[in-house]
Amino acid sequence: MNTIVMVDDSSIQLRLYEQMLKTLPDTEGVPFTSPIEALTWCEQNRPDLMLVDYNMPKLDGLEFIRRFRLLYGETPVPIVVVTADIDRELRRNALELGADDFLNKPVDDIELRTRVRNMLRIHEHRRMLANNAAWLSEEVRRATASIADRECETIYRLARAAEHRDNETGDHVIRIGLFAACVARALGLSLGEQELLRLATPMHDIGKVGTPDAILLKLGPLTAAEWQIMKQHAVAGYEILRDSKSALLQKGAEIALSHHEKFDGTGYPFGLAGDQVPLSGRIAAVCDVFDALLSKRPYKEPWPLPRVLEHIENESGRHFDPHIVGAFKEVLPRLLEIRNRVAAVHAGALGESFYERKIA
Amino acid sequence: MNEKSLDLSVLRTIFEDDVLEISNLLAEVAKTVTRVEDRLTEASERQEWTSAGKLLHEMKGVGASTGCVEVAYLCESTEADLAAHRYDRIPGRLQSLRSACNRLRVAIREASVREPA
Repeated sequence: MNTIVMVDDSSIQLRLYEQMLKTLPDTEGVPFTSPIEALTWCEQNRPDLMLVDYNMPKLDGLEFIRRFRLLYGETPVPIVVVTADIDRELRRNALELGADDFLNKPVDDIELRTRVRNMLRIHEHRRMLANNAAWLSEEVRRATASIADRECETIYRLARAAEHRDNETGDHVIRIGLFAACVARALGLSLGEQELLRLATPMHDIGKVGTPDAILLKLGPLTAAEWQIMKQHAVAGYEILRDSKSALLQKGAEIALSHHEKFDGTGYPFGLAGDQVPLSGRIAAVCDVFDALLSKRPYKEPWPLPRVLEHIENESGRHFDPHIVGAFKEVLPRLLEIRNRVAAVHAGALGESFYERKIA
Repeated sequence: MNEKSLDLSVLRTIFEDDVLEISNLLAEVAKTVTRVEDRLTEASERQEWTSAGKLLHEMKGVGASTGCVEVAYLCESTEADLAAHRYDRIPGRLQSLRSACNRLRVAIREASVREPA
């Protein structure tokens, strides 16, 4: 049913319009002699067409159109202005304010019906277009989210594959991402940056896929030669991830390359110091060491928490950026909570529960 | 009935010969014409030409839409004189309009008698 709001200070005119529109199918006229009352009605209801007299006391047609146009956003309701004036300026003003068509007084019934029918058709098409646009937009959003989810899942599984060799559960990659996001939040980074770090940090050790088992899983200390090979995983990870158009992979490459650099310049592969080390690498360094020391590895038993914290404190200004250590300490309770949560869930089921987009 | 005063074919077309609806509407037209005529007389006596112009516009609109040809025409002529500031012509115009209104009322009465609901 199409609703046509008719506004004219003359009840006789309204009665005539009502009668003229009677023959149009599925059409209902809602008459108002007061433009203010019409606007109030329109605040609660959405007509399909507005038929408004230009010359009205209290609120003329132009002011009415201006106020009416503020009521609805997209898919504007068509407005037909009825006027006895043929003044060009008036018509131009009305068009500028959003009038769609004019009818001359005295209104011819056939002309009125024809114009109203045409306007309703145009309105219907506009509405269909708007609905299609909204539907398409939603589909694009879903498809984009789905692609992003798949990208994240692929990266996560890749990172987990690399991690799997020296950490059976592979949950280190999940924790380190969540830790990095928490630290980033404490540092005041944007939500987008926090999210990027959450997803990219798990790729830090992806270069280990190229590290031989004999070195990666060696129980005793590494020889100097073995260390050289071990260190190559940073560059190897960077090589795997670099040159991607994906911001996520670019960030992953940056972290893979820089997470073993140290604040005092004694790290590898380049011996960068201070701010030369990308922020993502400095964050990943603290989170990686924190989680690694608390965890069992083929070559070590887990350290108790106080010892880990003491180590991090001692390395502040040497291995770690003191600013990052400060943020880390601020969110430590949250990091421990995350560790407990991750430990409570088997690695095989982690994908779903820890792939939340938002960090609680 | 004076067809110059009231051209019933206009309303007959719109209302598809529904005499009851036509009578009701004509009764409202007669009331409106009388009300506007009274206010028009007051406005012209006080030489409130802006108000007079609005009233003439209203009466012209009602007249033109309902087949009250003579009243609509006289309103339009008077509006034109007002717009051109030919105020000396207004009393004569209003006198003619009053006579036309009287004829219209008679025509409406006749139409209602002739076409009972």
